[in-house]
Amino acid sequence: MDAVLEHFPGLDAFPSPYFDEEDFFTDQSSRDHLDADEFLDGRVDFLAGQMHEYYKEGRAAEGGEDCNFSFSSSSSSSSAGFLYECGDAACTLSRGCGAPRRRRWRALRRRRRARSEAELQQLRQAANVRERRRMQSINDAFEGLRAHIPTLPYEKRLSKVDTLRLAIGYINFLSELVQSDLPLRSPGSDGHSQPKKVIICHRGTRPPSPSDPDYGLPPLAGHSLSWTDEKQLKEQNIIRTAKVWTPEDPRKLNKSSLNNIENEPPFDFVS
Amino acid sequence: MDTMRDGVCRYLQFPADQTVLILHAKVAQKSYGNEKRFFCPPPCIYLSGSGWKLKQEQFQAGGMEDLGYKVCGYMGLDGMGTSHTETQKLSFEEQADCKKFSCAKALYISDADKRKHFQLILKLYFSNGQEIGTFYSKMIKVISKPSQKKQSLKNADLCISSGSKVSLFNRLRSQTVSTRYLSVEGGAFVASARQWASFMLYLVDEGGSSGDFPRREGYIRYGSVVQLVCTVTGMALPPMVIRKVNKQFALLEVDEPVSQLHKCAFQLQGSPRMYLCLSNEKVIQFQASPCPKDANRELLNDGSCWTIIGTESAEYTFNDSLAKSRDPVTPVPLITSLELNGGGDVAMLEVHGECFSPCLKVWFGDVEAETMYRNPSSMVCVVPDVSAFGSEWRWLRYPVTVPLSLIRTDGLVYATSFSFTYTPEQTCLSSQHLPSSLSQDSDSLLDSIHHEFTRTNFHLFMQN
Repeated sequence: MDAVLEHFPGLDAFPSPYFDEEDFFTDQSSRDHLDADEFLDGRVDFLAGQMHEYYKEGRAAEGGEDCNFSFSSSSSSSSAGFLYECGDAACTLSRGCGAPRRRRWRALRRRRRARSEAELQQLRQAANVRERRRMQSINDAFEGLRAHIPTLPYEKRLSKVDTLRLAIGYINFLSELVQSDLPLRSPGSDGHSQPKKVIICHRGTRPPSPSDPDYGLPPLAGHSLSWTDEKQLKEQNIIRTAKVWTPEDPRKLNKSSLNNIENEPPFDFVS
Repeated sequence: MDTMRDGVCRYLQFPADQTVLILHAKVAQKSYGNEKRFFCPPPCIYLSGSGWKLKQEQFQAGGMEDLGYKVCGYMGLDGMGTSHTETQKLSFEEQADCKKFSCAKALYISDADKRKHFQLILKLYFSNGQEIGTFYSKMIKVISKPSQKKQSLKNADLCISSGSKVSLFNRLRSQTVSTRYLSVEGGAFVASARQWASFMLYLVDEGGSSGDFPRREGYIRYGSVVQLVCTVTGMALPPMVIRKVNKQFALLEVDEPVSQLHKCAFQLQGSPRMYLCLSNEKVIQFQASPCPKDANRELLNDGSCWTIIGTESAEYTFNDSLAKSRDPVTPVPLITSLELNGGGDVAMLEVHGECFSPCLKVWFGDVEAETMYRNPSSMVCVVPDVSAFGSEWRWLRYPVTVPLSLIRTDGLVYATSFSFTYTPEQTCLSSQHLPSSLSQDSDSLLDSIHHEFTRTNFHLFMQN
């Protein structure tokens, strides 16, 4: 597993934007979820926690009346520079907010009426920055995932939904590969008595859906058709499993009491 | 329509079929003048399958008096011999194995009948008068007497081929009453006066004396090693050399083909003149005496001379649990072979056999196929798509095997011995595309996995 992971360079590059963030957050409070050790301990846990945190924050923000965020779904490459520009505003705002985020929000809310237009402007900017950061991390996560999904050479960048879709398919494909150690059967290898292979393609079957357990497995070319005659098989079977009965030799019967041996089938035929 | 499908579904879960089996000899000796040479072995009828018992229970539930559900029948020769003098009433007795058994011991064909072949007709009724149907045996060849001449392979229908079925019987001093048939009862070979069994007769490769019954094709000749296997019980006798018998002598140097109704003897292979022999009910070994005058002859006793005759069987299976009418179940269609055609969008199954009619439809499991009648021996149907058996993905990913049945428009089901299989065909994830050696560096392994995934999942990329 390690050997394989080594060849996913994207995974290591994955959390890098979060480390970058530390440059503009000197505040302890904003670091509490961004400890570098946590990344190393469990990348997945961290990611989940981080997403959850952002999600909570976003929901809370939506609850606010006059918080009009600019939700940008900018891609990672274009927004990196922009984030640096906004960095200062974010720093100034979050400075001094040592309380947990929820409480901090409630505090902000209480103080809202007291705030000046400039302060509100700053708040909005800060919220925008947080939202951009959230989106940025999601986009980066997608970019990381995207890097692991094989694409067609001429394929344009995968959309998020396609990335997820193909990831599901690819995981199914890989687990099938692992499970079926042997490559799937090569055509024409089975000993059917029928002379030629008749294959029907699918009529009226629905398109694959990511919820199918076979999603991502090679699609079926169709079904080959064959038939068997059980009567024939039965006759062949009778011959194969025949038990040999040897008639008694009356002369031996008189001589020896071990006559039962005579009735035992030869070992070759005992199945 | 759907209720029919439900019915068929229920039937397939518990196929309580009724089966009629007619067992008879391939040849019959003609009776001249006033003589009556009864067919030997006598034609036998076996009624098997849980459907008979079910039918009986239905009759009983319907308040039928005790004898109302008894099966009775008549057997005779086809053609003009349908008058009652020529037919024989049958009564069935229940055997230990729950089969009903009857045999027609007094049938013969007179020399007035000039046909070279004929069939036996079996008419079955319930004792309340309800007709079950009219069933036919296979063709029986009429012969005047056993061939005395050296048999030529040109006269192939009198020869006995390896893998065909035979009956063996023994008749002391040509007395009909003393006839005993080789049979198998309770795991042992017996000489039964009541019942006979049909045995597959095989040529055994003399080289490979042990193991998996090495079989050979061709006609059986005297002097060759053969094996007899009971078709019902699977019990076999050890390999034996088949010998021609002439006036109670086994002839060791004769190698001509074995012919119908010849007298023959079976010497246990490798034994000192030990022959298959009967002693009343029992089947034992008998040591023949060497002939002082002729080293190629061995003197047998009466019990070790057997008459050999080829046998045939006609089997009819039906189920009337879904039938809406009380019409006779016959003619029972029989599928002899299948032929697949087409492919791609539509595959057609050609059905060859006997007794087809326009009121028959081919069913694949519980799915009715679009069926076109051509003539009494040919029908064509459209193979249903595999998705007709269930829309779940499993139905597509694993082989699906369904039994083939023929169902009459009134709902009478004829089970066949054929089953039909849909095997999923991958767009091959084959070994050529994946590097087999692990020594290859994992970069190229990943590359090839990626490549294989994109190749086989092209449809996923094309979805948007």
